[in-house]
Amino acid sequence: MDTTMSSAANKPIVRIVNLQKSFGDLQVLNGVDMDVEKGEVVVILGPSGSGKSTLLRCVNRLEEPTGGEIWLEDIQVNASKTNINEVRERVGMVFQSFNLFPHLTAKGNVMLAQRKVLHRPKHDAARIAVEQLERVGLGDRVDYFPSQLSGGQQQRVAIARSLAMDPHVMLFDEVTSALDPELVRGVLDVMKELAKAGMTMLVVTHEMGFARDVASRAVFMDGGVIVEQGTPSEVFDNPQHERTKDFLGHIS
Amino acid sequence: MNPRIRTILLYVAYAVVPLILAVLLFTMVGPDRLLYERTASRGSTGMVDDVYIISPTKDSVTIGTQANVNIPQAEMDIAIGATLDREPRGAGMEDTSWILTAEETSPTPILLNGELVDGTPKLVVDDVITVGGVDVLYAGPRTGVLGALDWWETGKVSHLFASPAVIVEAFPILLRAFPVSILAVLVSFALAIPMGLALAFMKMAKSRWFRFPATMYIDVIRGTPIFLQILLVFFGLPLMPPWQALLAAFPQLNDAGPFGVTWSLYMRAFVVLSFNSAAYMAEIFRAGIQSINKGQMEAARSLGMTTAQAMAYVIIPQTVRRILPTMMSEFILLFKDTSLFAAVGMAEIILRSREVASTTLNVSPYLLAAVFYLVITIPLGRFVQQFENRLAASEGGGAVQPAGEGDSDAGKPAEPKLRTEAGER
Repeated sequence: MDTTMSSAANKPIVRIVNLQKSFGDLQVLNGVDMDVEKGEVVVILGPSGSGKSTLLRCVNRLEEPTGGEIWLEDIQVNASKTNINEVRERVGMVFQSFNLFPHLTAKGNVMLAQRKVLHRPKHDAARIAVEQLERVGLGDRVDYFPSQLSGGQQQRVAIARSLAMDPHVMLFDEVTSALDPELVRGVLDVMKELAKAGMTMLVVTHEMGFARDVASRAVFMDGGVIVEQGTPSEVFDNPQHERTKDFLGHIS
Repeated sequence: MNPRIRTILLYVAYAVVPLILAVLLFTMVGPDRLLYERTASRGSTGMVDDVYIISPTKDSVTIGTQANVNIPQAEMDIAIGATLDREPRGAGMEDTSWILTAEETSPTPILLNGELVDGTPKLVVDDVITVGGVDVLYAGPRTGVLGALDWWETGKVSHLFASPAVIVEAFPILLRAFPVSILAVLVSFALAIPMGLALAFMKMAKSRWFRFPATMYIDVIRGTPIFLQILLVFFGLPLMPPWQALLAAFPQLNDAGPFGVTWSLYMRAFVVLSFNSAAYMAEIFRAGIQSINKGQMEAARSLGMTTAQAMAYVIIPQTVRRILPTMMSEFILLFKDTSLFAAVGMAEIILRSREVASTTLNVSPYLLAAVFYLVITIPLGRFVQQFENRLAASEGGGAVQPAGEGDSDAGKPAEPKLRTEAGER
């Protein structure tokens, strides 16, 4: 997919400059630079331990960067005076382990942050919750508790929960890795539709088919740095680096 | 045996055995009794009716200030005023009769039905013997259930541990004292919840200036006996100037409050119980909060909630469900700990039981007190158990799952509406 026409005029929506992150002595991110344009779908690939999840978690500061800068639109995410909750309102995140709130129904899960963070009236929050649940194909499951839903359904509720906050960017952190194979497709379909609708997405995944079909850019990370990036066909079909070739050879 | 016949026999046995027992019970003739009045125990006032039940193995009964029939208020200087002797000796219940002998050493006259005793008369039912100004009625035996109860009283062990007469005397006293414990534990527990929550958050804080004092407090409270803490507070607080100032400002705190106990005592009970329980509660809260998956906090924070909002709407509601059984167990423990207040002069149920026990020389009041405690603790314990079972079932997922729901999306009506042609991967 070509991104030049949408990106040429606009400022990047996410700008990552020389990002560093270490846990104690362990350097996980070692100077990552990345610009994400509005409407772009960036798929981040790499072996485990390459820092791709940490990169994602730095974007909404679930992890505190130890160096570099992250900008979301006109806010510097990792500046000390930044109200991080404002950033998080604009950045949706979906986790590998769903993290639905087990004491609330699907609808309650989607409503909670709308009510408490955006201060939407109860009526509006409920309407939007049902809309978003319908959008992810769970219109008939609004009053179910997470324990009554399958993994795939739970993950779609989690996506609806993020979407209800009208995020500008969505982060997907290996969202299908904890699912049984037959449940993966429903979740990926929702993500594809989101991409089509123009959502800006950063996706950490091992789903190569999804990356090929949907991504506007594929980024290969290893050892805490971006080794190679380009269109999916460039990276998958004609990788330049030895490590990329090695990785793709292992997984396909 | 034919199972049907066995069933019938079983039902007959169920019907017949209780019937025989009932007939025996209602036709039972009890032992002989002497009725009199004596000074009441502390806790109740005035005089109480008392009964001396003559054991069938006893051939001789003395009446006096230090006799079988003990009437300490009698106006006499020596122990025994009159003696009853069984005639014939060893006759037990059958054809028994009693011969009255007035002791010659008695300084006050021994009367029978208001007249001086003449010789050694044989008693008939409703005779009144007057010893030192106190009337003792020869009431004869009772029949039926009451007779059976009288038999119960003649047994040494049964009388000592479960005397119906003593229990009847103790019951209103203990009933009045029992709410003291309940009030103390309810107020203290309500105070301990916010205190424990604050301690739990302090102990989980990043700053050691919060963590250290909380850890210290919890360790000291949990590492020392609550009795020691009770002694410290009950005898220490009144020596402190602020406490003395408080009592000087509000002298009515030394007046009797609810259920006959002063507010000054209640307040000290609230202090020691809530400060004690807060330490235990803090550990319960902390364990509960830390048992919630880290992802819950991350999910809430990633939606833009503040830490406080995430705590209030996501973490705490899940914690409460998990720790409720443990909290109720803590409540039961705290409730039982109120018994220790007996040792510092707070007139709760154990102190009252001890008073009745010491005046009646009988431990039945303690048994009755046990029943009072059990009325609260057994249902509460059962409730905790059921709650735990329900929780285990719902966390396993099986029990709350509606019929027809499996783990698979296959064949379900809920297909994503966002499906596209480019669905292959």
